[in-house]
Amino acid sequence: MSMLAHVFHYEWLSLIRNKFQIVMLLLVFLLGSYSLYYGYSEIAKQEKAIVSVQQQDKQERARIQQGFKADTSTVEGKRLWQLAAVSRFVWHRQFYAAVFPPPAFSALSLGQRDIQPYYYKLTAMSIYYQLFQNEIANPQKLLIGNFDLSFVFVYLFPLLIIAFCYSLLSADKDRGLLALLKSQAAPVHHIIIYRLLFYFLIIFVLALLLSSSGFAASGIRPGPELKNIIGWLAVVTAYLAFWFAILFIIIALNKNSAFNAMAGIGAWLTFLIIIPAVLNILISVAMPLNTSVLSGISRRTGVLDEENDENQRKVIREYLRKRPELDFGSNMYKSNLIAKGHAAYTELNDQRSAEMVGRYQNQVQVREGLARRFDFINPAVNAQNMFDAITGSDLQSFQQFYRAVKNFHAQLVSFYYPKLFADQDFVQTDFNQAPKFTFLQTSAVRTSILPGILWLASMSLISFFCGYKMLKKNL
Amino acid sequence: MKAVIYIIRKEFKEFSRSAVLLVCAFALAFCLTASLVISFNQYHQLRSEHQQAGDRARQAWLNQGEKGPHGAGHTGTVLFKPVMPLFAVENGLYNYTGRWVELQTHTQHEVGKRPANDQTFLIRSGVFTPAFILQFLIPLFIIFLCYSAVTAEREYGTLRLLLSQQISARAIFDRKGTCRCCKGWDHYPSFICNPVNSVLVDTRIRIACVDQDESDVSVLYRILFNTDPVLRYHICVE
Repeated sequence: MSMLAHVFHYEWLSLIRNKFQIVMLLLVFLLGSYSLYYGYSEIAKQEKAIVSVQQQDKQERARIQQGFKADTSTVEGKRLWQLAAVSRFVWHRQFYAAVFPPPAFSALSLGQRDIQPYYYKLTAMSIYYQLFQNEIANPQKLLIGNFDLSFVFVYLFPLLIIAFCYSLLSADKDRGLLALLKSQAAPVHHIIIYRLLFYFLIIFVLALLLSSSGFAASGIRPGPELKNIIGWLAVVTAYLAFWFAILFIIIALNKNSAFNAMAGIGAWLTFLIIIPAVLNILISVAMPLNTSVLSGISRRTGVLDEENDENQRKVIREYLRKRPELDFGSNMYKSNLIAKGHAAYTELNDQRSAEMVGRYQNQVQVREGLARRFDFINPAVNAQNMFDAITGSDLQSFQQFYRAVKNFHAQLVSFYYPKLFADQDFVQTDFNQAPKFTFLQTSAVRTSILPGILWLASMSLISFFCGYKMLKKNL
Repeated sequence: MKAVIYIIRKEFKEFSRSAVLLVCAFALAFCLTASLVISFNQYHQLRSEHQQAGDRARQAWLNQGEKGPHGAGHTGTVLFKPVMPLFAVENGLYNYTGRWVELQTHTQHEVGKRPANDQTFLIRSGVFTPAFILQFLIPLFIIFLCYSAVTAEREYGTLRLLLSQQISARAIFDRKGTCRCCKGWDHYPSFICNPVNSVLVDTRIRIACVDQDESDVSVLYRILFNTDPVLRYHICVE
């Protein structure tokens, strides 16, 4: 124990007297602080957009309520009432906000937040006209990615670890101190491990400092978010431990400093750039995703020759065979045929597209599952996925959001279609039963990050064990 | 000229006897070929996807039957972004731009489906194209190949031997020799004269220097050790 204290003491002295190392720590701290700022500013933009959409939603609800009170003896008043109550207008004009507000943690890891749509203004008209709309974004910016805290942890911290540890043994050897060390009471491999432990603690404290500033800034309280906080810190610890274990192996090779630095950079490139890129290409070869099948379904196509009533009746009949509860007798084939025909057409069209979209989305799932199976050789992407899962900004969270949006759309259809097909107008009290969009994102911490952490931890342990054996052999 | 051949022969022998370097070189060649083949296939696949989907859209537009202008305007059509042949080398912004735009009246659509929409973080850490290999793997290989070119000579104790080859100590530190060498370098491409790159391609510089003047070997080492600001300045200017 005294040896540990001894090593820590002198390592600390050498750390604080080494300007280069202090500057590096400060630099990473500054970059980390900037990444927090970056994350918050991006999330603030999205929150602003969401507030604006919710505002519009509120105005829409208020407009509907006013429509029922409007003075229908005036042209303007009648128009307002029509847009609130007449089913052939309102079914495709009244919209509802469906938003995915950023969860508390999301500023720390933006994940897919920049590329996925996070709000919709939904009407009861075809879901696929609306679901696949993208937000305007600068593709160059999307390509470069986000400088958030998870990026700092995943990409920059390994560099810091390499810079601090690559010459732990080789510098002593180069300076001729190794012989001296060998003559001491403690075995050299113990000293190396103590020194690695010292740097692990220093870098972990830095990560802890940045993470807790992030938690504090997002107003995360340990009470409700305790699981997420523990999950986040566990991923950070496991990922840092993995990199220290890799450095331990490199040190254990007992080569010179130049080789160690090269090997460190090589490992960094391999784990952060090469393996993900190779896996990506292999997966897209094994499971190509043809997005172009979705290209035709966002447009409002319609009934052939919509002026011809018989065409509309045909479509309505076809739809009612699938939805007999909307069949209100032969009277319904007399009026409002264009609106009904179009409503029936978009629903039928959706049902036809549903199979194709379902197949596509299933492919996306299978593909993601396949990618996840390689997590064990892909620690960086694994860690990043776990960060995204904790912050609710991964692909799965957004797929849950899409499912919620789809369900909500089905509720809208059930709300508007019966009145439309029964040729009834809405009254004010009907809107008390209007559907409300709720999206309670199930936090991924409970399900998906445990295997990832276990993989990382076991890889670290195996690497550490190999390093230990090699070091003992090579010394 | 003889010196050049000697050095090439020596470096090549060292290279061919190092299993690690050979494995690296073969792996690199394999990666480059594989990425070319895969990328090229993807280019063709994408092209035909766009072609087919574009044809379908066109047929749907032509065969939409009798419609009022309003209905036809809503039916609209979809335009695909053309895929250029160089896609097989570098994907550029393809994954983030969206592949098509839908056109219809009343509604202005944003771009359709960015391929990155439906992928995990994997896609954002790089796409394995020939350009990617040129950007990441080949520099890495060059570093691996050359980082020890000078230090190894020093560690093996052959640096002094090398310096003693027909070169006088005076020549080593002769500023005139320095300038002459720099002038001689006019014939060589600028990337060799750039001191940062010179570390990476130092084998070539060695050849270049020896070819020029016997004292150039010493000059080279001074470049690599970065000991001579005047020389560095000259090289930068060149």
